[in-house]
Amino acid sequence: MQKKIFFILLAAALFTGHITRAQEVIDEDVIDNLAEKAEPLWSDNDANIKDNTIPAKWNDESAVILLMKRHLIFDREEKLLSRKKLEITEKRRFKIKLIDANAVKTFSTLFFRYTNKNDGFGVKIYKPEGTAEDVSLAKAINVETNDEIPEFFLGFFDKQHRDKSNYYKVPVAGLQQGDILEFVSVIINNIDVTPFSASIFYGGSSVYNFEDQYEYCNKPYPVQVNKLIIESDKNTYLSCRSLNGAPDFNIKQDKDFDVYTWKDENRDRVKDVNFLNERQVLPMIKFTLTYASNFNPKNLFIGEAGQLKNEFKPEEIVEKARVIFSKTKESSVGYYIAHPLKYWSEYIWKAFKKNDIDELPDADYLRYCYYSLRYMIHNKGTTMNNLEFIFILSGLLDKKKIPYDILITSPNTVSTLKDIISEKELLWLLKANNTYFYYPGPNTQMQFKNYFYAGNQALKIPFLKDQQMALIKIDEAKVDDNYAKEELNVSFDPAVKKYTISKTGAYQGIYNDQIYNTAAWGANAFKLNGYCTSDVAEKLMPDEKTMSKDEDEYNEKKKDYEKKIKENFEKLEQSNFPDTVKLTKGEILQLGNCYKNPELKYRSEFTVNAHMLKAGKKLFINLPALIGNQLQLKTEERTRQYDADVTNPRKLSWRINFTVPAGYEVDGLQNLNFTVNNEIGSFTSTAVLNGNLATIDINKTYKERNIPKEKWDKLVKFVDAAYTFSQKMILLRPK
Amino acid sequence: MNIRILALCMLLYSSSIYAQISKSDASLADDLKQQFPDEGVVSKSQKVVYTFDIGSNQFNQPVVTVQENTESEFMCLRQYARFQQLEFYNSFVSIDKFTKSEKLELSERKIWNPTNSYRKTSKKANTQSIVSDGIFYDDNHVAFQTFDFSGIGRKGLTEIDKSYTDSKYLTRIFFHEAFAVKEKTIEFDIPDWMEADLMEYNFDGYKIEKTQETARDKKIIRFTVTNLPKIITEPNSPGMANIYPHIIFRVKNFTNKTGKVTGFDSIQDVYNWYNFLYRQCKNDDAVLKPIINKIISKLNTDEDKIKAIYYWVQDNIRYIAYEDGYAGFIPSTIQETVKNKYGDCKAMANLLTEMLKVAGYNAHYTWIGTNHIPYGRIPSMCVDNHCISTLYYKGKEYFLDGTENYVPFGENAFRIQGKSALIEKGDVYEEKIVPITDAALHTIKTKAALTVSNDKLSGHVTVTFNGNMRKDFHQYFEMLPQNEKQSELKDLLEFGNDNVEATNIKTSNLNNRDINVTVEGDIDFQNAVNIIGNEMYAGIDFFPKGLRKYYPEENRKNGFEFRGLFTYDDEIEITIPTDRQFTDLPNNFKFDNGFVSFSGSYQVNGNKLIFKKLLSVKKEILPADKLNEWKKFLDDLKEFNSYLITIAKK
Repeated sequence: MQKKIFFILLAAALFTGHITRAQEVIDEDVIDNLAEKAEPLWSDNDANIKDNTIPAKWNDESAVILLMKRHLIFDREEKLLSRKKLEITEKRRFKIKLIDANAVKTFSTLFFRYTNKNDGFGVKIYKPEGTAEDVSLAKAINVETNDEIPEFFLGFFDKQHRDKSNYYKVPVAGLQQGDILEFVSVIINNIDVTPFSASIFYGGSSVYNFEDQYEYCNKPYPVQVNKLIIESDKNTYLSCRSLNGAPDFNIKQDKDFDVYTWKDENRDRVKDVNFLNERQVLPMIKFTLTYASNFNPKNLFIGEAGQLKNEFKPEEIVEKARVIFSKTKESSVGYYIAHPLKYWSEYIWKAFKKNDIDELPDADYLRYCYYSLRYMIHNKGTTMNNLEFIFILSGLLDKKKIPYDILITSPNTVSTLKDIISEKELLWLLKANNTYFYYPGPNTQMQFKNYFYAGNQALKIPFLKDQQMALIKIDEAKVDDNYAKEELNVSFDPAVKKYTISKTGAYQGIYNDQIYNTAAWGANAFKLNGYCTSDVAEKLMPDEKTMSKDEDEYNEKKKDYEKKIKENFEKLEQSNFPDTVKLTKGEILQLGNCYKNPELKYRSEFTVNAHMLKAGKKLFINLPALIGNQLQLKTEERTRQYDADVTNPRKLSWRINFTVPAGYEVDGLQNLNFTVNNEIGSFTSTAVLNGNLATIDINKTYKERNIPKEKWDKLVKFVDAAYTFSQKMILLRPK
Repeated sequence: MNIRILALCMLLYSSSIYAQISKSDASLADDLKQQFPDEGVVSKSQKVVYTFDIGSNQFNQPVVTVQENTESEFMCLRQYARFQQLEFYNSFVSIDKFTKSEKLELSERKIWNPTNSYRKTSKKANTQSIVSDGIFYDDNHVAFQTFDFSGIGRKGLTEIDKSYTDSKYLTRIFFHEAFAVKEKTIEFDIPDWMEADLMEYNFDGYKIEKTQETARDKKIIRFTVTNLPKIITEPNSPGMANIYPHIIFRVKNFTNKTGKVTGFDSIQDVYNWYNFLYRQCKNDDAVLKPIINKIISKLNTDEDKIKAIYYWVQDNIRYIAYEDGYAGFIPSTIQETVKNKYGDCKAMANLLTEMLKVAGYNAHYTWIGTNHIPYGRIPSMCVDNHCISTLYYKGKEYFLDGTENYVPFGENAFRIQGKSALIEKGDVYEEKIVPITDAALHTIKTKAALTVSNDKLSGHVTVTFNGNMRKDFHQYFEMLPQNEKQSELKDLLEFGNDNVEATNIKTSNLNNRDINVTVEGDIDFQNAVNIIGNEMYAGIDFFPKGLRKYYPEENRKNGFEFRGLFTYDDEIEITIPTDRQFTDLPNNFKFDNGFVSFSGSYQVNGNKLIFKKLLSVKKEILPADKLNEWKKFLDDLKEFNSYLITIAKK
């Protein structure tokens, strides 16, 4: 009877237009059907099913997964009227021991799918005394949106297509601490694999790529046994990897089916750790499934039929990448109207020729290419992906016969080069004139290296007969690529305990992007436009009509832009302080989108409450806190199990110019002097008093991106110093 | 050219230009913008009319049915505004009609219909079920119509017809809406064969005009109010019933063909209805005997047995509410609840009552309201939203709430304190008020003994919870995964302060809900002592973080509702080296406005300083007119907590 209806919040939710279904109680017929389809699953004679013991080391866990078993079967099925369907059956068996009240509460509600009559589901509870009880589904309710369904209950392929399947939730009757809960489910999906337009390329065959699957061996609870079985009918190819110590896949073949199995046992929970590149260190498997009948297209990351493909040699990767790159010319991109990629190279080349840009030295020409494409993407809404960007760029370089290399790697947050399993894991780069080109952000400079490929290994794709494949290492990012420099002129009013701050900042690399994305929205109007406003870029200024239109649009929206920028700046400054920031001014001095002026610069003026303490008539202010929150490492974080990845070498600098309030003298500045410097990073600060102006210079540098666990203590030293600095108080003593 | 194509072209053309509205609408838009400057869409007028008829319920009992007709006219005050009007319904209340019409622009009228200025653009509303907080399933739904207005002065109209299968479910009618209303009228057309009562709440401060007229066979009562702002949602606000004007409606009696039928004329009538529904629940207590035997067989005293049964229900029956139609009023049977090991408050109250009875104790099913409901016992169903069990034991009543895990026997959760309990006693009822307990009985006591050594403070801290604070601790702590509990205790002793590190943590027996909870440990407090020159400055900011969420935002309109009455009692002792002394001690601070009290003091004894703070929240609701005073108090409290202790050389 206790009900709270938040109808205002509901109204907000309704505005989102989210697809929902009405809550409905399950039908009796559906319950019978679910039970009937689940029945055969209970008679699985897998030896792991019967084992209900857990090792003593897990007695203090919330719950222990005794068995997690998934069985996928890919079986092409001919249908009437020449339509081909691929039937995918997914059987699951999940068994968990619920040790504490939290686990009972978590599993008090189960979810299951019922999208068609082939779906089945059943649940049992095993009591500590050995009895087994069936759980009734009579109280199951249709789930409104599939967003609330935990991962444990979603089918493999439903994870990508949540909205398409119909799920129910059911309260589990009779559940108590110490019980073992077990459910079985079967769901069947049918994918249409009738060749249509695909046949033009594939010659009457059809290809269907399933989403890449990534699974970490560690789960929120310890796992006794985790099993995955994939059966395919010779037309579905598995490409897989076992990484970072995960067990390998095995294959067993018979005439009609190939059976791939994978099993992991005795796996603990993983504890949370900062600075972790999970894909690089945690035990995991990844795999991709591709249906391809009557054909083995060269671009697909698959092996031969019946082959457990757990490795792609560099030559294979390069060959497939070359085919993919060649295929790309068929793509079309555009804003209102899409054109083939070759059209765009031609179109831009013509504009270049008209403006004599083709006559420029190679380095300048390259810049024009990059910034013109950036402008097209972000100012003119020409949608394209990274590969299409690389393709158009290569076309432009071909026009001027500038040599370049097409490279492939993989984002290092996704995979290493040698463990690529699908096209989706490829990352494309173009290298020319010692610069790596990648899809530009709205404010990204040509020379910027994203953390997800900086330092990676990459393969050079040979396109011409005399070219060779080569394995190269992409340059690492450097500290000077990414920096933030801030100068704060600070005055303090003891009467109201507020700072008045005038701040200027200069940012490059990742900080340029961060500030741009947070605060510079709307600044990208024609006056601070996407193409470089340098003398080189002036050759490519829009015509007067376009500029006039841009100006009109800018003027019309100018007030909105300014208002939005002010709001954004307030949010930006607010993120540094726990108390409310009142912004009086926020303006962008330099957008930082041009190679000649790569720094984003801004100025803001604001007031904010000061953290002030008193001792008698003396005042203490936490002035160092103006540099923002500093990382504080907990006891358990001071030793590492894994190597650390801080994503970018970088440097942060602050200068605080603090005017001592009238009637006071300052003391304690000597406590603000810090020096910690080692091979991993540094933190230094110096405080100097000149008259009534105290100047504090602070620098924090992360020198390396990857930190071996043996050197973690070096990071701890300078991070600790920065944190301790941020906690210091300075004293204001009345004169 | 085909006239239809021409008309279509003209329509497309006219739709693309700026809205042409009448002068009067333009003028009205200006007025409304002035009146409601922050609103995008306002209701120019809303009229709600209630009419009544006779029907029967699922049990074939005669009832009064209600028809509610609402007409709302909206005006857009911005260039573009999306607006949704919501209407709620469930198994007992249906929506028969919910249409949307839009006023045509001047040019559109010529094309569509020269005489009618409104065009119906949606005859059927969208619907969605509502998943209420903490409820697994219920029958509440919402219907909604969406307007996409483009142009200042554009108007829309909705018409809603709702039917109540029984007037019992028409309990409260509020004037305020989720949107501002220029003029609202609520009308009751009360037929001669029916006697109704309309109780007015929170009318003070609002100019609500009430008129009454007699028409043929009926009496018409109208309430009209103007310039209503929309409902303001602010965090930790008192519930709507505490602050917004509304009417509680009830049918006292009515006359049908067979004669006079009693509605809710008295409390007894409400009780009769509750009891009737309660009796629909067919309990079979055969399932209870083996459970009860297992629970109490080794216990000797009655009190131990009662406790054991009470705690068994708290610990073994999960809260999962399944409210559908009468299932929202009739408890699940005890056999079903025992089998499911889950239920809502009705199921738990039913089970607990029957278990105690089978064990030989005098227990009774009880209806009660929680503290969201501000009324005393009146003859309406809106008073009760919860069920418990009342036990008569040794001359005293005990109010046993199965949904409140870890509430010990003899104590009551805050949310039912002061509320009227309607206790089942066969054909009659008994009413008792759940006693209110003082804030001093619900405390978090923090005692720390710290020593200054160089730039560090270290020592020992003990935190003790009692009363509802203990219950809250248990409810939160026991639901944590057990592998997270130790770190949670550590966080507790570190007070959310990044500079504090707690070790050697011990607790009282957390499995015993009858005793106070104690958590203690050693703490090291880094960065707590600033050394400047020859002096040391030490500070511990124990500003009660629990009050931070009650700091009034700028322009806050509503007061605050605290989650309970409680006390924070802090005592911190600091010991310094004998060659040093305390100087520049801050002044003591005291405050008491009848709602909240605070006292803080420093006392020196040789090389020891004792710092004491005592904060009590004594009343549940802080009214809006106390906000400025409250804000000042919080600022002063923060100021008081912002002192560093000077430790100077002797």
